[in-house]
Amino acid sequence: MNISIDYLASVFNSTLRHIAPILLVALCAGVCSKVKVFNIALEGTLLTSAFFAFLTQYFVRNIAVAVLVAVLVGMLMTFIMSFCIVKLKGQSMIVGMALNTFALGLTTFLLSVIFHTKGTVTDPTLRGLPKVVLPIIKDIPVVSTMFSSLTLIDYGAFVLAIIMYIIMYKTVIGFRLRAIGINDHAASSLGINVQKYQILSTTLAGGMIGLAGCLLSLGSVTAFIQNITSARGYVALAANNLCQGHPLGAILSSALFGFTTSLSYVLQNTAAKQQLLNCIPYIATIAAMAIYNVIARRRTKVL
Amino acid sequence: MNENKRDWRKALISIVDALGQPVVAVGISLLLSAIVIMICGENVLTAYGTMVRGAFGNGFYLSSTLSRATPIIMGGLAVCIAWRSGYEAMGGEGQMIFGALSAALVAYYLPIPGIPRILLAMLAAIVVGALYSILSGWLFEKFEVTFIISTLMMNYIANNISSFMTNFVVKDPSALDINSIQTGKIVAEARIGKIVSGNPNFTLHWGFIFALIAVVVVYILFSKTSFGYKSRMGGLNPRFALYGGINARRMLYIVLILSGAMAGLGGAFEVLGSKYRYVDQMIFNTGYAWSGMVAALLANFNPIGTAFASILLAGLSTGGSAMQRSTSIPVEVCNMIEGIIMLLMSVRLIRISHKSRKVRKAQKEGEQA
Repeated sequence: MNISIDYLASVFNSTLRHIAPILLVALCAGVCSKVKVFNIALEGTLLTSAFFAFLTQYFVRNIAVAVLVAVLVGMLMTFIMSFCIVKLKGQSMIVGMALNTFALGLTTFLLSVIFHTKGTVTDPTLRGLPKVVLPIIKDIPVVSTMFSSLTLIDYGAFVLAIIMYIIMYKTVIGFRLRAIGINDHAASSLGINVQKYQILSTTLAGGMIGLAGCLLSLGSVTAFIQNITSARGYVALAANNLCQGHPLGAILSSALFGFTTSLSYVLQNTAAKQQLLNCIPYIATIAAMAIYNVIARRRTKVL
Repeated sequence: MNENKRDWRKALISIVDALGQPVVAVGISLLLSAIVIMICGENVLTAYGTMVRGAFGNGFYLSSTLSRATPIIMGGLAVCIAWRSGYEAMGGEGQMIFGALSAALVAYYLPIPGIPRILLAMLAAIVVGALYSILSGWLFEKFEVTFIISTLMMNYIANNISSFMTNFVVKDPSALDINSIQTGKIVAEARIGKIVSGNPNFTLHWGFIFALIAVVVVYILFSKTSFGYKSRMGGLNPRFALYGGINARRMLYIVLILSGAMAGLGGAFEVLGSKYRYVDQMIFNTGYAWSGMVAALLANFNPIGTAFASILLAGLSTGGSAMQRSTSIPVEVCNMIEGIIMLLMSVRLIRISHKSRKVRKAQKEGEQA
């Protein structure tokens, strides 16, 4: 393996491409945690929207429709989740795991009914999300590698993070949402319809998972693979825990997980075995949580 | 007279509370999947008929359902133990994977005679499963890493490490097919025997009986011993438990060791009684641990109920496979049914209606007064 600048640029590029899906899901998790709806159905929601993005593109062949469908599916799944938890008082853990089980069953079921396969579906004629070609940067040698083959959603994820920050911290709606998270009784005594806010905000945030799903099945590869998410939803949950639901912090924590994920792909060319490399993001997740908690505990001790 | 009537009504409500929810949940999910089956263009009654026959129709089918239920029961017990004590750990899958792998390795490589070899293989699975479970407890206790994240991540780690082991370290050297990634086949004397010997179609092995014994042991442990009381208190109200002088840290580790041991043992039963080797992804793809979790939830963490629910869910899978063979409906429809059942179980439809009725009555009385 020879490490050149080009190589590092491609690592950077691969990291960037791995950040957006986790960031988008983490942003949704952030909204959910701010309004006290514990969402562990992220994984299943992501899987379902990735599948329906691919399915729509396969049959309709219109990328805008595919993205729209994925967003709607993401919102629908998140709505079911929050409705069951908020209105029907379901235990959030169980509701979430149920939706994850259901999602895995549904996607595998449809995969075998529609495509008669249980592994990977792909179609060479299928177009994925269009890649953004930046006007000036495309002529600079190394920098162009760094930002090559990124889609609009990849960039959009970062913009969304900033928008989420503005909504959550600079608007009245964001203030109300955070108030619900801090003390829902106090919030409701101020005349905020807590349940309505909880369900609406989480449902809308679920749309972001839909976008992330598009990136998985129509992004850098145009294919649907059974269980394509491979725990990204759970990793995003951990990323959100690290940043305590702060949208800008989510960029940083997602970058950490994007980097470790891309590391496990990049090192494939070395002697290290694939199966062990696959563990890196999961181990990094646990390690990051542990280190964060230790630091946070020290800080509170000092205060 | 009135008093009597109220008692009777109370008893009925408690029965409906206990049984009603699972029945309603199973009913609705069967109804929903009936719609799916109809959309697939199959006759619902034929499909469900094939499913029931394929699960419990005759001795052969029943025996394969029960043998499938074995690891599910063990996974369910693992969840019962941990969740009843208030630890929402979901590491059953990882523990079962490592348990299965270590049992397969001990039974294959250890050159000692039959029974001790089986026992040592089972012991290895128990120890490894418990250790892996302890690891998540240590992460929780020392670093406050929540169980949800640590155990879910550890499931994937366990599966990848086991995959690495079977691919490169302990791969069966005699495998004819290069694509069969598995450990060597365990010799006949180191296997858990079939209950009906002589007929290869009867797949039911003694592991099932061991699992039932484990169910009884866990039941007694929880409802008849002080340990069970303490752990339940810890789950219901940790502060009360602390106040009552229960050592939370010790409780945490004991509970996790027991839970991990059960899951690991489940993996060992599957290897020693059914597959006779560890095949790459065998626990991950079958989802035994998850089914166990669904079973435990269905039974509201009652060990005996978990056993029944496990058999039902195993029947759903074997019946689903039978349905896949004779109709165009793939077996995955059962995962959907499982998910819907779980969702409906979690939202407590009946108790809500019951409570709201009570609330309404109280409000009415309040208004009158």
